[in-house]
Amino acid sequence: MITRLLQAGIMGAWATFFTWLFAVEQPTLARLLHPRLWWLVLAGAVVLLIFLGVALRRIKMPTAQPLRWSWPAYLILLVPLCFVGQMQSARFDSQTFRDRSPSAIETMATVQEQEIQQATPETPDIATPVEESFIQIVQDPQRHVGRRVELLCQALPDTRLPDDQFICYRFRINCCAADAQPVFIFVNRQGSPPPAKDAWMRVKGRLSPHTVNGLTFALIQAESLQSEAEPSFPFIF
Amino acid sequence: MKIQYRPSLSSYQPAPLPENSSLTLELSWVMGLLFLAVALLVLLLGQTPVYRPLVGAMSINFLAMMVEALPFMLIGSLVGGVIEVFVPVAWVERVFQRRHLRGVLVAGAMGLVFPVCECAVVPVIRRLLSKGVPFGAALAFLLGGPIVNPLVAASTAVAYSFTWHPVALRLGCGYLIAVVVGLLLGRWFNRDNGLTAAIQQTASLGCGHIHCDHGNDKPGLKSQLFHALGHAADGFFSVGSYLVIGTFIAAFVRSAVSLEVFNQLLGAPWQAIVLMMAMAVLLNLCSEADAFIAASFRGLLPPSAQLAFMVLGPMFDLKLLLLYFGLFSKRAIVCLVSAVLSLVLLTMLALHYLLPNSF
Repeated sequence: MITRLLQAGIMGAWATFFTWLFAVEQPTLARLLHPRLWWLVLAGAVVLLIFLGVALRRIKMPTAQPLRWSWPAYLILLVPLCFVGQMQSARFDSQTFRDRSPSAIETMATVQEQEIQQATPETPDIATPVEESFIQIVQDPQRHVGRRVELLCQALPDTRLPDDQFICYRFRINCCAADAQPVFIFVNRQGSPPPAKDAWMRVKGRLSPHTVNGLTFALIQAESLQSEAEPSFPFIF
Repeated sequence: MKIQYRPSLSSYQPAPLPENSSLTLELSWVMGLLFLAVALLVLLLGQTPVYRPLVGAMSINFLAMMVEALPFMLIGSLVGGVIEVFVPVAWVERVFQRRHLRGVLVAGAMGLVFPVCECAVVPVIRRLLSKGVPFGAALAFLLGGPIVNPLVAASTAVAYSFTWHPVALRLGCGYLIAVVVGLLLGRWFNRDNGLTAAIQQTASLGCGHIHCDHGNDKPGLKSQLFHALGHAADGFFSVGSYLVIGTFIAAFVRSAVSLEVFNQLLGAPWQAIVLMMAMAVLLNLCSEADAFIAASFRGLLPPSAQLAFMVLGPMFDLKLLLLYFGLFSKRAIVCLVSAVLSLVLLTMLALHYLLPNSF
């Protein structure tokens, strides 16, 4: 009976966690899972509640393995829940950025060099600001050269860059935070005070080609830099 | 003595433990305690300023993977329970046992009907084995199911911007390797020497509950459903702890090992393939998610290396290795892992030289 109670407790704890994530703590869920997969959490909660009902109905049934051998396996199932507090205060930062994109800066610069060189030298000055998604601008900078753009991102000053430049980065996820990949663009702050490492910034400015050490890449000439709170969806999709 | 199906509380008697299971139980117990100690240590280290960022990133990865994988495993357990109670043994025998070759060929593509990821496939395999599915066919489904399925095809297509070559090559290679491993290992192993003692006994008793004898009489749908759910819940508890340990290790690797480590070692094509295989084993990604990681290496690594990552990951990684310990004998695991690693490497090398710019 104790084993069955333990099983019911474990399923109850996970069902509560999943329900809490889905119904109450969606900002936390947004830092774990792509929104198109949130149905999984709901499905998990439903299955767990069904299993919980079954476990409670079988509360007096004996189990195959005695509890003295199986209790570590049951406790292991609760280990992830012990990390919830740690996870809530943690964030992916510049260290994660560096770990997951060791040669990204060089690669991006090379790719963008090919793209920008094809741009006309006299790119028309399009005065209308565009509110494009981060990923659209980073993936196709040529289309936006000369335009005013507005991005929300985290700041990373990098010693390989000139003093007045920094990296503006976000993480893109396809399924969950474990597959988060950094995407970024360079920003010239043009006299604005340097942003703190990993601070969230709203960058407004014009996208232009820029050459450093023989490499040409897209860069935002910032017209304004504003500190912002972390958005409810820190990842981009 | 004929055992009757009586799903009542009073008649329930759990399957007795196999006589030779004592060592396995003790080992699992010790490993479990060891893991709990490590988890506690990591949790405490996370309170110190030096390790807080690392443990914080690890916590995000750990919980993200758990929140994504656990529902799949629960759904897999549910499917397993339904198979156990509702799929008749006669059907299983007809499909899988008449001809060894046909059984393996069908099983390799069964993911098209049961689209399960590698976390969910293990509870399903347990149930299929208990239904009498031959070892080779079960292996073919275990390896092929998480690749040859519509969800994985769709995610791979999306990751590669709807270029169909990677999708076709991934599913084709996955099916080929699953069938070859199923045929090879099906000749050397069977349920007597290929499965753990606990699974062997479950297989010989049907579902492992003494009161069960599905098919001998016709109980009501409600009691059958209740029984299927009971099996499903038991299936979840049989493999859930392995998923937690595997995910914990994967989260640690994902947080502590920089991609730079892998990039520095890249050189010849075979090195790229071997390193992407190593990454597949260490990163423990879900087969429905790994295509996006592989696609991020476009332009950096040859297609064969990207494909090696996508084909090997759903067949073998750290998390699966731990799940395999709950299913197969140690000898079978060694043979399975060796066969999968060798075949993936050889297939990808062949592909590299035959179709160097396949996508």
